[in-house]
Amino acid sequence: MRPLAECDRVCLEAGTTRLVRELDWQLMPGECWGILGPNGSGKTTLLQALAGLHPVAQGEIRLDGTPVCKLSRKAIARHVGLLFQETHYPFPMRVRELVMAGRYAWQNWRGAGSDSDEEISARAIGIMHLERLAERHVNTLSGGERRRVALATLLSQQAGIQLLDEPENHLDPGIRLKLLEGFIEQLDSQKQTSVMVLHEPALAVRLCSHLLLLFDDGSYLAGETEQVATAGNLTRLYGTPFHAVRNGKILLFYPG
Amino acid sequence: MQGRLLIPLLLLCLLLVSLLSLLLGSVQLPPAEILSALLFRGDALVSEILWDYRLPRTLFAIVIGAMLAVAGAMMQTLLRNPLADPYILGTSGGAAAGVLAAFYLALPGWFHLVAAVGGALFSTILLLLFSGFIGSRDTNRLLLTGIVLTTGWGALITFLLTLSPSSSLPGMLFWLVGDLNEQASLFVPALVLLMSLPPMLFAAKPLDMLLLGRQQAASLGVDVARMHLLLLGFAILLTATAVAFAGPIGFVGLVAPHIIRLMSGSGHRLLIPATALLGGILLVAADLLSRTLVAPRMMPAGVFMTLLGVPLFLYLIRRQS
Repeated sequence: MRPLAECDRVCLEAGTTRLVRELDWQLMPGECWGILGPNGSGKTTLLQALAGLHPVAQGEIRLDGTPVCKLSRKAIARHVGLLFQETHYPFPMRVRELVMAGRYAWQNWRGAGSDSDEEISARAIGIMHLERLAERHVNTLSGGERRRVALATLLSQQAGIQLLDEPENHLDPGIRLKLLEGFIEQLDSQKQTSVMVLHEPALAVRLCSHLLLLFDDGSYLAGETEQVATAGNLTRLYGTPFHAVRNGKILLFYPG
Repeated sequence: MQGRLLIPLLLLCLLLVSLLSLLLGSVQLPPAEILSALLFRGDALVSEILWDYRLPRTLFAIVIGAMLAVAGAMMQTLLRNPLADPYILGTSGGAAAGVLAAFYLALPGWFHLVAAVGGALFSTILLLLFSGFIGSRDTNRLLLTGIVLTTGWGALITFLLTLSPSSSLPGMLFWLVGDLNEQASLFVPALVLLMSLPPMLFAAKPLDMLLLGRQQAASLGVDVARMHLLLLGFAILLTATAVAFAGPIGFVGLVAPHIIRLMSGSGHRLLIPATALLGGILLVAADLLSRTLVAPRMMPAGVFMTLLGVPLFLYLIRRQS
């Protein structure tokens, strides 16, 4: 099976700061990756590089075999969707319209929405339980509601690779796990994969089949969750002692 | 409000205010005679006043108003800020200084437009460079940069006026505050306006998405650089043309898009044509007031636009902070 995306000896920089060094990484259909790392280790920058929004200092990122820098914005958007850490809407726009904007990459120059566009965005609204907010303006919603709208927009984009930067932001603990599990479940395991930057190791272990740890010094560790998620690795990652407890199927990590 | 209601409503308003603009003026004429002159070319004098003065002037006001309003809407989308306006941010000032320099150097008339575009372009590039470019969400920095640029252009304009022969001063001054008396030609402004509307309407969808922010729009597939170039190019061309032909009339670009956004949201498919219509309505109305309120004297239309725009701008600033 061909990888949806691959990083080939990728080095990333932000300004003059060197972040990730020589990253070799492949995203296969059906995988769900969690990225963990201390603040400033380049997690967000890596997502943006995958979406073609941040240049790589060295190496190459390929989407479905083609280098990102050779693809048009529309073509990239059909391969990669990105949920941003924060969203800010200074102008009024309806929830329904915003979710529909996720279909842009699949429309022709006239921007005419086909029936299936309507169907797909309506389904995305349903999955994120936004039916009752569909006609509201996004700038009047609460942080958590805006987050669900952004997730629905990402769903309706139907990109092969779904990048989520701190998707749990603003979502209250009761709904967090259910929403994100619902999001992952509806992805097509033959064609889609998701990558999420998380701050909570326990959530990453719960949701993700694979983990990528980005260390402070630019090195990394990638692999299946069972192998990578150990108290030792997390201790090295965050520079503070971590311990593991197991309760049935659930594995928890706590610092201290 | 829905598009199929808003556009006809605005068209009706435009028709009414234009009709008023034809009926009223510094010379009192009976409405019946004006209508007969309009329809059957009745009395020669009435006919002349109507066809040579009032009708061209009204059409000119519609075109200039539409241009300024659309330019304002474009700047707001470009900068993602409802307070953006070519007049406040120095684009008009740059164009005006360019035109006055051309006046001063006694360059031929067609060069005024070139000088206006040059000045507007230069001022807008300075604005983008010093306000942290397009991605910045820092409204204060944007407005401060704009105000400083506007002040600078103002000083340059005073400088040029001081050096100019006193015989040409009244004309220059009236042009500066937005005067519709000396409509040189309707053709060029109308052409520029008609040229810039179709690309904006074709790009309505990606323009909507620009409002989500540069990064977000790009991640959804919008070619952001191309859209910014389109907006910047047409905002500068429209502003410069309007300034070259009618002087720097302020606040149309702020007031018209704001009212339309309140009524029907920010979708560009509706915003662009509706803003153009409302800009036309506003400037015809301002011109009508300027011709009738202190008749037989005339006041530049720009004065009334500014008197309407300043309170709204202050209100918007208060609401944003």
